Amino acid sequence: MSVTFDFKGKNFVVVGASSGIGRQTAIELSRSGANVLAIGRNLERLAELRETSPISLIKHPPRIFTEQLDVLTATPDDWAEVLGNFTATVGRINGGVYTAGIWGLTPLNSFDETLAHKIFDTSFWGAVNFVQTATRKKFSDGGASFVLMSSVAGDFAGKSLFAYSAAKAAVQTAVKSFAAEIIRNKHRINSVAPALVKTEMTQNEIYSAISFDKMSSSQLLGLGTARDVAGMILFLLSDRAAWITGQNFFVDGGYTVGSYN
Amino acid sequence: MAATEFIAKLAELMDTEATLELDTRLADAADWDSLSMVSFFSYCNTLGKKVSPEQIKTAQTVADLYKLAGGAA
Repeated sequence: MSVTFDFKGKNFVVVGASSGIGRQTAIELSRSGANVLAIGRNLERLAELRETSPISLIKHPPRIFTEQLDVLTATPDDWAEVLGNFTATVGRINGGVYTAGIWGLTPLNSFDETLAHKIFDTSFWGAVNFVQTATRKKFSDGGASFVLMSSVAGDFAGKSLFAYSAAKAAVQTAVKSFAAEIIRNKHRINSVAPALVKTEMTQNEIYSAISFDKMSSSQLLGLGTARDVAGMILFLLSDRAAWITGQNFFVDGGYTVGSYN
Repeated sequence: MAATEFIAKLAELMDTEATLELDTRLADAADWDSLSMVSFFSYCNTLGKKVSPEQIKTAQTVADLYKLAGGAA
């Protein structure tokens, strides 16, 4: 029993593609026939990702293109440039996914203001800037689909997580507003809210110490993988989700339910 | 701001691919809708220009908007 997507000849942008859920999404889109622009901070990782492009498929060799961009400092012109390079080669995009995000503890008592702002800038403002540029007619075909990353933390904020949780809640809410605006070009946008997934972001020491055991024990289906989340993202990008916009989808391994047991 | 620069900015605000000129009538511009009006209003604020929604609604041409945004037309 399996579900396969056919994105042959379609063009997608994945921001935050050097690792985790973004990387997995880029790979799966490419294997489903799409041309993918993988945007990330780490050039080496992006180059390694490009190697996974299944160029052996003869009919329509899918391709992964890469661009280095730091979402914290990228200006509207920077976004327009990287999207322009891609669309000049493959044509206008059919959608995009924004997965860039960082995690960090911000206890109310003594939080690091720089870190708190960086968390917000990466998860929220970076996504806003991306969506602003990517949804323009110049870059997107009408009817494109966009997916932003929220988190269960956006609804169920734990201790010392106000910045991360607020940023992820902000994403969910902005999506609803964006959905109402970009429908003008028949675009759709949704967010996906995962619980604990095994990625590099969640492998850092503090995260492991504080959240890992507690969270993963609440997840009825155990620890998730990037692949578990990418399935929902691909679905939302596909035309099977053509009647879905402005929504948030939990992919949480049963965390929400498990927490109350 | 030069008129050409303003027109390019307006095209971006409206997200339109149609060609705009100073004498283009807004009523004929497909992408001049309520969302474009709000975008234009917000853009004027960033320029420090106080513009009322009424002024935007009653603007007839691109040149009228240019005047509102502080351009000499």
